[in-house]
Amino acid sequence: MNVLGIETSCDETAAAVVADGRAVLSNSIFSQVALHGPYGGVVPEIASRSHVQTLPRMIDEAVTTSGLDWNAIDCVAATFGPGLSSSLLIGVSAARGMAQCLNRPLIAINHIEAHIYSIFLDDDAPQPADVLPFLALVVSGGHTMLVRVEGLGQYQILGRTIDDAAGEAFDKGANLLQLGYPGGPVVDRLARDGDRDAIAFPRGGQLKVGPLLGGMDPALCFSFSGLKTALLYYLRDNPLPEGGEGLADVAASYQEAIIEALAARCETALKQGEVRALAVVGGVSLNSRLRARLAEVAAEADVRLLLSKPAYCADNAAMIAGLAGAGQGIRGNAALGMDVNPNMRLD
Amino acid sequence: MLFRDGVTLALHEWREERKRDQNLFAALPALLQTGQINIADLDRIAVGLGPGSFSGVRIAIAAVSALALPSRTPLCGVSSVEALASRIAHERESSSVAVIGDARRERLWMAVYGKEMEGQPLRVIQKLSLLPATELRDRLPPECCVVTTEWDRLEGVLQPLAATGIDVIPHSCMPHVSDVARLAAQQPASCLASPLDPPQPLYLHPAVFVPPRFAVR
Repeated sequence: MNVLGIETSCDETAAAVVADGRAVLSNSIFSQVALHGPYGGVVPEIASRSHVQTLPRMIDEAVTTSGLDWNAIDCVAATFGPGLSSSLLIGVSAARGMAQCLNRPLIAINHIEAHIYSIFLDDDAPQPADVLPFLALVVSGGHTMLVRVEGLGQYQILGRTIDDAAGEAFDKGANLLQLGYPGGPVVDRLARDGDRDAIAFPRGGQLKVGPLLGGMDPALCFSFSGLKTALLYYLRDNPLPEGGEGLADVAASYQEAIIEALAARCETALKQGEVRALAVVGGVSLNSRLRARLAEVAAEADVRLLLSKPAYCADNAAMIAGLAGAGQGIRGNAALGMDVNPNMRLD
Repeated sequence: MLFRDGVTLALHEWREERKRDQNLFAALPALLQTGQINIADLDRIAVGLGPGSFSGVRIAIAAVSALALPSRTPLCGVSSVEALASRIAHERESSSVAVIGDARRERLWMAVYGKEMEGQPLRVIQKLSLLPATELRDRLPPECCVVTTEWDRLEGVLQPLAATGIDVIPHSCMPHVSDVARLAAQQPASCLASPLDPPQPLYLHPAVFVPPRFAVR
């Protein structure tokens, strides 16, 4: 089955064609980074306007690159949530139009579920049956959560951030360090030459039980707002010299605080429940230090480490089309009558 | 609405009860069925560009761009202001029409259309622009008919104009799809857009951005 996937939940305008849930025939992405860079983060209205402008070209490119004829598309899948409402609306409206034009079914996909599914994209990726159940760490600019995956469509959220997402912490930290947007890649690069133990930034210690956690285990939840504030005060009290001396140490220490907060919770979760693998998905999973550290965590727990291929880490439509092709998502009249849902839940 | 050589083949009208109702997608197949035509057989697809509902205009543009993509059916973006002005000019036999709306942020939006003599097509006299309410009276051409899409919001601004003898329509008027279709049918092929680069909404303001408060000072 050939699925045309459309993804516009945030600031990537993406379309892809995936065959039978695994073979990625095309994966077109227009990144709006340059549009949002001057503002240090995603501006929802700019994102929505850009989606309106660029999505048709991405869809056309995805179908053309796939080598398929329009009539060979068997269904159309789109991200219905979670994400920015004004951005989701563009992709969903285009998907509805495309489904009608081609007279094909529409499938509504959960963005987080698609990120988790991204580890199964491409024919050389593991089969779900070989790695289930597994623990998934979802880390991106908008989401940070730990999920126990029993099967496709069967998820239990073990923990999540109560304030900023990990990717947001990278962006805001980079903003304070005047490194530009997005912050993750540049902090990662700088940190390679720095001392990650130079400054003892807080690592989001154990949270207290409260309504923000929604009954989840505090030991598995995240908080990055304190870290961001600690960096702010550190820079106020220790201004960096003009030449940038010490910048790599600050970047490495700040990054290490984020990585250790993520790694510690993965370690705890791996001890709590029997799983066969640890999957790391989302844009932050491209971070080289995170990959190295979680490889250690997985080895210590004697489970496989599953990583998406780099092309499927950040927001993309291949994961949307793939998940739909694997039989997941909301279909039929339920999808046709469904509105976008910025707060769509995974479980 | 399906439109051929000045004749309406099929028309479906409804009022969206919620901002993001999906009635458009239910109406489209019914419309094509009524008109007994396939999407690929359409010569052009017209879409209103606003200014209007934040969600509605974008839903329409995103949807028709996708609809038109496989067949590369040309798109024709029509200013919703021009569509309304053309109807009012026809109904009231006015030589010029000022269409006014609330642009929020203490500004009105206004565009003025007119014709030099009877029988000539309507043309833009004042392009769509923002202005404070205090400047409205001075910007209106003489003997112009004033119409708004938001009488409820602008009654306090427009009622005093009526008292000075200006022809103000005292209720909200909305652009009609038949006017969008008629104006699109008149457009030369050179004015049409590819669905790859669809016409864009008429935005009244730049994208909003509030600088973050969180910064080293």
